[in-house]
Amino acid sequence: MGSAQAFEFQPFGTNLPPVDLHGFASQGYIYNSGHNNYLGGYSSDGSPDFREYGINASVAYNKWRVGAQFFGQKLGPYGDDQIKLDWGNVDYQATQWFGVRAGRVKTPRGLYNETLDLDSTRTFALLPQSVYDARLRDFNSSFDGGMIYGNIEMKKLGSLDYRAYVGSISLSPLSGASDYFNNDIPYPNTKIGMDATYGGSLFWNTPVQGLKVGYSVQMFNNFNALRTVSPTSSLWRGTSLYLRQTISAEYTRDKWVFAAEAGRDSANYWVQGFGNDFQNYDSYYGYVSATRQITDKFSLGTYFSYSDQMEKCPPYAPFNTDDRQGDLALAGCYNFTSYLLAKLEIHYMNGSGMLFNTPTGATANQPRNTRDNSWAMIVAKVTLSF
Amino acid sequence: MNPTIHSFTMAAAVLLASAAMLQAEPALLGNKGLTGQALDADSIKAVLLGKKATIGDTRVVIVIIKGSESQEAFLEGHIGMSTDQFNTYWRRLYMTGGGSAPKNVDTEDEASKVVASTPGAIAVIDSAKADGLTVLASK
Repeated sequence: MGSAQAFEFQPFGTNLPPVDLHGFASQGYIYNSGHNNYLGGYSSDGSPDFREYGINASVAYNKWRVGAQFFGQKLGPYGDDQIKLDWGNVDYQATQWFGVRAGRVKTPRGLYNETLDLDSTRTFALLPQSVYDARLRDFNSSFDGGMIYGNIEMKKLGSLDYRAYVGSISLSPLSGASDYFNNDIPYPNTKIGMDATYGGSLFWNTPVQGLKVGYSVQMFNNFNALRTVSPTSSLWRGTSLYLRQTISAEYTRDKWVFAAEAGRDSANYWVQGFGNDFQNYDSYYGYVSATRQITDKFSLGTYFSYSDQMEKCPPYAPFNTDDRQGDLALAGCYNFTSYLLAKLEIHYMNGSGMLFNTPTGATANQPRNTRDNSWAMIVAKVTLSF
Repeated sequence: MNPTIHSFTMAAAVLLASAAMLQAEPALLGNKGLTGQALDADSIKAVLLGKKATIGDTRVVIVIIKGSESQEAFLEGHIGMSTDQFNTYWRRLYMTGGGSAPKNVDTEDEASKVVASTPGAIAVIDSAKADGLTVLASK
């Protein structure tokens, strides 16, 4: 996965630093066998509604850096090709062990959350969905606020990368996150939001060359949604704290990269009129993956990803759910040039616990008892980057 | 030791040392504005991986050469990455607001020119081509 040619221009004259311009555009295709519509809209018929594109510019001078990226996507009904500010921030790195970044900042979570859209940096077209659910991009990708970060040198013990942040995330009822947190019953959200998000990550770059391990935590404070339950009535559902934790390990040796991550999301939801702790949500998920660069241009990868989402509703036990889904993937990536690549990926899906059952659209009418629980998914993608 | 053998041994040692000095080896070279800065192994790693964005107060501009054996050996030795892996690592940083993009060039001669003319620029270049540049670290 070689270097891509960048564009550089000097709007401030030759005595001042240049502006770097980079970007990417990808178009994919998702096909699900059987009748499950998962990820790209009406994907049981095959769907081209799977694309991302972005352009960024940045300029750096001594300890300061300023940059921004605009981004658009379509993943089934989500994104709708609307161009948004993906990240845009001012960064000041005072020393190796302390820096500050403020604005719209990529959320540090696990190994790959900050690089969700960077096809040119990995073999897989889809990251393991149990940890990096593509439908939750609006929710996962970035936050508005501030972050401190740094690298602490520990000599023979390696080094530590830390990040800590606080901010907020704006969410739309039309986002994938809205459907994700509304998957217990198919009533639409008309509002969704939170007071604040905060968290951080700590990664140890171990003395073993190529091995790093880490822990990430993210919290959403007063995360709630207004749900329409009938033409004349709505009610709020929310949680004072949604907690998300991930442990990660990655080992790079020669042409191999091995990775494993595991996580847990938990929340106790209150529902307006029904009191606190009405629904208890617990989700366990993780994956193991391996990739190998076969030739300069071609790489292969595989992963097994697993998710188990449990929802318990103490007063109404029949509404308890336990949604599981396994995903065994095999992927190939071919770099035609340093700026053009193509990927092909085959997934064997066991279980259907990550499917949505939304009030309308491609993922409507997918109650649990009608889903295929063993199916195949094929994903193809072409990406241009510079 | 026989004085003849001793003299011969000394002469051979001097010749070998001279040859070693003349022999090109990969070095981390920088713009002359970085004169006086020497990097130890930990600092080399921190700079190359973008953990340390400046040397002194000057923003580092990494210059990456396409297909350079010296660079490949240096990166492998200091950070355990091939040039391709190094490019991918940096792409993850600058595409997400986490660092400034390196400059990519095709040859060592081109890299020397970019380093010479760009404040804060560094590159792994054959030490024989260090004319006018600052040696920050060798091997």
